[in-house]
Order: sequence, then C-alpha cells, then structure tokens
Amino acid sequence: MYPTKETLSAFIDGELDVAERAQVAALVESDPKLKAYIAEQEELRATLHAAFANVIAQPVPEHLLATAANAPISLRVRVRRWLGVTQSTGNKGSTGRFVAPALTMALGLIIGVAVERGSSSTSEFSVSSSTGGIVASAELGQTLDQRLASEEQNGATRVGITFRDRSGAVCRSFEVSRDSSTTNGFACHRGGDWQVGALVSRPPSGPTPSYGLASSSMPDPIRDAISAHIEGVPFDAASERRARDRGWN
Amino acid sequence: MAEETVLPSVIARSNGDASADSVRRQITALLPRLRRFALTLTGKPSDADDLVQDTVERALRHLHQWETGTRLDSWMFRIAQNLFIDQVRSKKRASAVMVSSFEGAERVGFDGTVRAEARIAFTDTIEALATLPIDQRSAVALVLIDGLSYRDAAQVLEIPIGTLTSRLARAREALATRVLGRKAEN
Repeated sequence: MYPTKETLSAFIDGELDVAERAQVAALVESDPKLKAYIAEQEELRATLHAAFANVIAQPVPEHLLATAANAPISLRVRVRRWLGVTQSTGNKGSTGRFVAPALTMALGLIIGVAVERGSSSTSEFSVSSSTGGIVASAELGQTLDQRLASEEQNGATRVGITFRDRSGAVCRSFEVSRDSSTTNGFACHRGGDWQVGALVSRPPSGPTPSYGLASSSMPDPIRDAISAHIEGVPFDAASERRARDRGWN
Repeated sequence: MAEETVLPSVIARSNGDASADSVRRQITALLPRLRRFALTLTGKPSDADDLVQDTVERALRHLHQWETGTRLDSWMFRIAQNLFIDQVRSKKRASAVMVSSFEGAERVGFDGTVRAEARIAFTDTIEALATLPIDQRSAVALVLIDGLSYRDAAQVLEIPIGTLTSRLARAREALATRVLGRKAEN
C-alpha cells in the first residue's frame, strides 16, 4: 500500500505509532521516489528553521519586555489571589459548596469570640433587636455608611473592599484597631443595618502597619468568608461611590 | 488604566506580587517563540512585534481565562492566532480588497545586519509562506517551525488532529515547490 501524503507528513513529524512507523519506513527504504520525497521534506524543514533562526537568537526588544513586566493583570485573577482562592472560574460552584460547610462552623466560632470580646472592650457591635444577629454600630456603622475606600483613612476604623454577596446585598470589609485588639470582618447592608458576616479579633501584633489595609493584615478566615460570599469582583471606586449615594442598596 | 487607580490599594498593588511575577517571567521566556510565530503569520517584523505586544497585553488582561495546569505557550499562541485572524478580517472589511499581509514585506529580518545569504533565504521563505492560506501557515508555524506535537498544535488551532494533518500535508506540497524550487533556480 502506498502511503498517503498525510501519512508521510505524520511519518516525518514522528507522529505515527511504532507499528505504522516501521511499515512506512520499510516502504520508504524500498522506494527511491519516497526516499527523495522524505529528503526533500527534511530539507524544507531545515530551510524554514534557518530562515527564522535569527528571530530566536536576537534579544527581545525592550518595549516587549516592558509589556510583559508591567501590563495590567486580569482584575479577576488579582482578586482571587488576594482572597487566596486558587480555583479557576470554571469551578466557582464547587468552591462555594466546599467552603460553605466549613464556613458555617467557623462563623459560629468567630462570632462567639467577637461578641465576648466586643462586649467587654468595644461598642462597635451590638445585637440586633429584630434579627438577633450582630450589627455594626457607633463609629463602625457610621464609617461603613460614609467612608469610601479611596478616601484618607487615618482613624482607628478603616474600610477595605466593597462587594455584592450572592444574595445581592452590598457588603464591606473593615478593620478596627484598638489598643487591646484589632478586629477584622465584613458586614452586609440589609434592612438599614450593617449585619456582620464574619469577625476575627486578635491582639495587636507588634507595630501596626502605618497605613492602609495591607492584604497581609486580613486574617485568613475573613478572606475565606469573603471568597465564599462574593459575587463577581469588588466594586471599583465609581461603583462604590454610586452604591453609597443609593444608600448601599 | 482606570482599574489601577480606583481599586482598593491592596488589589491594585497585586499587579506585581509574587505569583504575578511568576506568570510574567514565563511570558517573558516565551517572547522569542511568540515573535517567531507572529513573524511566520504576518511576514513583517514590525507587524509581528505589534501582534506580540497585543498578545501579551491580552493574555495578562484575560489571565483568568488561562486554566492553571494547562500550557501557557499553547494558550498564548492561540491568542496570537485569533488576534491575527481578527486583524486580517477587519482589514478585508475596511478595504474590500484581499491584500496579502506579506505585501511589502521588509527585505530584512528583525536584525538589519543579517548576512545576505540568510536574508535571501528569509525573504524567499516569507514569500512562500505568504502564498499559503492562513490556516496552513499556522500549522506550518506551529509544527514545522516551533516543533509542537500534532496534538498540541491542534489544540492551539482548536481543530481535530486529522484536519491539522491534512493542512500540513497540503502546505508541505506547496512549500516544497516554492521554497526548494526557487532555491534551485538561484
């Protein structure tokens, strides 16, 4: 059987399986025309390689190196990394399923701790009379109502990211620094209150970061909780401002 | 870049964090191969570098679409290939004339100081590639020049392996006549 051009092509490129390869090799060996064709094709490949060898050998132009080094990276990837989520977008559903049960347990624990500490040391949180849940009050409540993340944040209370959760509520992450403890968490705006979704309090760790909500300062349980609740990506400054103007609804 | 200024600073800063740096390094290492692929497609060094630039920008901006664990090179070749096809299509629409993207191909490679011999080989090869339909040209670029396996090349082009094989066979035929034939005349 005379091999087709396709078979010969695959033969030259090393794409045939062992049996086929042996078969074609025997045919080529016994047929001068086939032999010449293979030789010609080897020469073609060498010529193509030689023609483009220069491109590979040359230094890459500066502007391309600069693009690779500095061009902006996908916002969604940055958010996922910042939240510590490694799954790709395709697995969103399973991420949620995986995180949710762990989260439910973690939340009970975290909130328990927060209330205990909260009641003794601060008045940032109170128990809602209508739902029995924890809501942000006093300075924290006001800060969540008014402050934009892009504004100067020098006080004890700082706002981090604003996002919509899967139920459609607007949520905001925060950090409250006191002498005795630092509290991180997020709260979602429902029924006029900032209902706390997760909280972690810990003793101040050495010198506090001087400015901003550094990503390293957000405790893992809070990141996990946010990544389980967030829908899409955090608001940019314009959406954050619009959301505030609409009363966080 | 609107998103740079408006995002919470923690996320804006992560444009250059450790994991981002690792992807950037991988992309930088791919640049020579991307330039060669782009040159095979466009036939013109300046167009090739524009295509590479667009490819890198798009890859970083759409990094969430790259599935970790799959080959970054294949994914970026596919981006380059799709961008190139888009360009050719929009040019066709604009001028309503099928202008070969190789028309006016510069007579030198990226390096103006190439030896005359290499220059002739380069120009002849570029002209021969220009006569191929784009789908055959991509197959040649990926398999014959870059050395990808049929499976990887078929994945880049999003076609079955059988289709790739027949494109290659047809391209081989045409190129043997043009590249080697012309060389014999010289």
